[in-house]
Amino acid sequence: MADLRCLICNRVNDASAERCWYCRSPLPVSSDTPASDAQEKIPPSFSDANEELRTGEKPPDDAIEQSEEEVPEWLARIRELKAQEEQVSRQGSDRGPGADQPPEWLPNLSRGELDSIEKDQVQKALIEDQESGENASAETSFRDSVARPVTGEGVAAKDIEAFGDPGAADTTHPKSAAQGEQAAEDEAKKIVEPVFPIPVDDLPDWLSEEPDLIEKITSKAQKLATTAPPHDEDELEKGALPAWLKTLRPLEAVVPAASEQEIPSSTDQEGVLAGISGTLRSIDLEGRQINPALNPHDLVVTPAQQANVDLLNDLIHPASSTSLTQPVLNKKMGGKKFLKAFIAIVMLLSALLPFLNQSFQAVIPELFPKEVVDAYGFIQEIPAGKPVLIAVQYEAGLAGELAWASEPVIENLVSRGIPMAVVSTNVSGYAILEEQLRRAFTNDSNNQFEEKVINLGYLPGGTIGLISLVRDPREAVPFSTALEPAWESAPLENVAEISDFAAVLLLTDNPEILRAWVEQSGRAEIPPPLLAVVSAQAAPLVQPYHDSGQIRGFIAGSSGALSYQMIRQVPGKASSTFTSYQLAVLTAALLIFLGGVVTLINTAGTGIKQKGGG
Amino acid sequence: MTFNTEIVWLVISFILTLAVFSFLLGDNPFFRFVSALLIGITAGYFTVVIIYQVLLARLAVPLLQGSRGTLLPLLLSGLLLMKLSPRLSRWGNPPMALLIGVGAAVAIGGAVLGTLFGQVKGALAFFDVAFSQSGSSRALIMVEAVFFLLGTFTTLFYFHFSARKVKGKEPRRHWSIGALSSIGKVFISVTLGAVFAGVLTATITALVERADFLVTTITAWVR
Repeated sequence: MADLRCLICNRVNDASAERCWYCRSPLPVSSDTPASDAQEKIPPSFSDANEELRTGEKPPDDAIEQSEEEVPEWLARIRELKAQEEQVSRQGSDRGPGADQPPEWLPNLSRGELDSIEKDQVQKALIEDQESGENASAETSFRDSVARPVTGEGVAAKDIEAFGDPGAADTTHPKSAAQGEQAAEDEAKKIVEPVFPIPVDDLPDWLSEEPDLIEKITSKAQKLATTAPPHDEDELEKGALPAWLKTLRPLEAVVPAASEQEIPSSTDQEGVLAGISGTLRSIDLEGRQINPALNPHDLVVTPAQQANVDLLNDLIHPASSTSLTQPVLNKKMGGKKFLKAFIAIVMLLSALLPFLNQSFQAVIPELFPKEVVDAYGFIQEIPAGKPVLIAVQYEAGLAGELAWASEPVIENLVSRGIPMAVVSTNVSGYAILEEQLRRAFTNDSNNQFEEKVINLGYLPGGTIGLISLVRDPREAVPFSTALEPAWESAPLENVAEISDFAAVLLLTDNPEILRAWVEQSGRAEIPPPLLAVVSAQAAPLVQPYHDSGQIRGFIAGSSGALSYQMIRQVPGKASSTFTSYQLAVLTAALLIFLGGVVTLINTAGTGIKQKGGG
Repeated sequence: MTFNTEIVWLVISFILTLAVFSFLLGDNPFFRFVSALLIGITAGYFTVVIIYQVLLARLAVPLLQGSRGTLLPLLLSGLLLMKLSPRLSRWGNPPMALLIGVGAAVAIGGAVLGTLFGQVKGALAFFDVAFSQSGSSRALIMVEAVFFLLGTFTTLFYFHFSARKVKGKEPRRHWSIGALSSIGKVFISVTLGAVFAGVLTATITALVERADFLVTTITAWVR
């Protein structure tokens, strides 16, 4: 089966194809196809062309004319364009002497402005090139010295070859050198003139009325053409970057091998991640820290910035930052270890001593914080049957502190028989709190944990989970931790919305969690009153929310719990351990103060030494 | 002493507490064991909670009850899982975009409505309270309100980093902004000091709580 050639794009297609693969035009029917069927489908013009292809004979002229009359307009246009292209290429291949004559537009462009060009500039450039001793022709010299600066893109050289005098363009042409130079000079005029200045004859009316402007442009163009230094086409002027940008280089640009380094997958041998493989180790990071090769003169570093850099360097390379010798360094490191151990032992003793020796007596605060008093007052006003939602999110590491801080509040709620629902926005929170609640109920014989408490478990989704809880608590936490319908249980049977809770009591060590609760619970139609039990570290950041009235009250840390217990006049863990807590805090404050004094003395001593030495 | 689970847990807690404290003597196998134990138990516990509290309670049970509303989250979760495969990871982009977009919108909306407006209202409330009082208490509350306002303004000015560029000199802030930011720096320092003190007291509380546990346990055994 023979291949088919497309009539439009003249490309070969498979014989079975009906349309051209390339231009999607209908293909002529193959000779193998039954003629009767195919002839019916294709238009007469295609069939004629196909016939011509098959037989190789040219149809008579009248037949061609007839077929041209019948072809559609689009096809005729394509054919016409193709014919023009072929004609041009044929003319190009066998171009005669007359074909190399410049086109009509070139003399027109240069007309009328020859007098205004400073010819000596071009001649000077030509003479300079001749003096340089290069064996280039006048045309080549012209390209290098004049044409490129004028055009700026090196296009003029091509123009010369395409449209210029062949005698000037080709040094091998049998013409005398003088004739060549003259021709090159003429050519230079022709090339320079069309570009600069602008041909005044072709200017629009509005511009031709501004002779001063034209003159200005012309003179500027000439100046550019003559004064611009010759440079290589590929050579670009370097940009003047600001210092800070110069310093921002990709690491690969400075150290090519850096990007190829890979952190080896290994197992840590020491530290808190010991025994765990695939961790990002600090030793690997040190290896990857490469100082980029920068010019230090480009980067302006203030003394404060340099001090910060030194501090960071000390943290990353504690041993290498100093210029001490190894024995001195070992001694210093040993001293640091001793100091660390000393501080730890002192702190441990200060925490243990009050338990062992009952003679220590803490100074009990007589004034209670306003936020604790507010929290107590609010809890006392909660109706007995109305449930409280206890929301928990704290890390296990601070469970001890929060257990002590929340103990008096939970005991107060339990003693008043207030139903409670527990929900946790982190995974571990609800389990820790459930244990604490069970302990609180064991001390109270009047109420049972199962009757008063429902554990709603973990609420996933972070802030979005909070929104869903605020909008529709029944849908947000449908089941208890025992996978039973939570809202059918006794504590929650009368709760349909978040505002049906008497209060939301938040237990957290993170002020951000409290902020999220404040923000999201405020979206409810009737926002529930918020109370909080927070870690001491969150207290300064929680205080503004109490001052603005967004939370009704809060208890912060052990001291807050002590105040609550004193208001209730029921002792607890916070009061029994307050002596130990106070002594440990005082010891820590004393150690910090002593450390500050020692540092001050050391700094002063170093300063005096430097002054004495200098 | 009768054998019960509480005593077992007490002994385990005691030993683990001592193992953690052993880090004071430097890195050692006991501390490493406790660290590994904590990480392992936490991972296992998280898995169990996620299965029971999320997958079963919020996905399987509603699906079994015929809830069609769970299908969309299921589909999105499935698409999100495709992030695990480099070839299919682009299918995880829509749920990821949804998560990030919704999360950002919720956070911004909450911050503006909850914190920004709430704190502005709170700052004005000081003056409101001051005007409702009379006598010396009014003056005191007024002083407090002005002090709060000064702290808020100067702290905000501290974070005003724009500077005027002068030829041949380093860019400098206007002297008035510099003065206000210096006052703001004092307020920020006090705040950071308070936060540091809070962190210290929280840590000391944890230490005291563990010390109390050790003493209580030993005392119970001795008796």
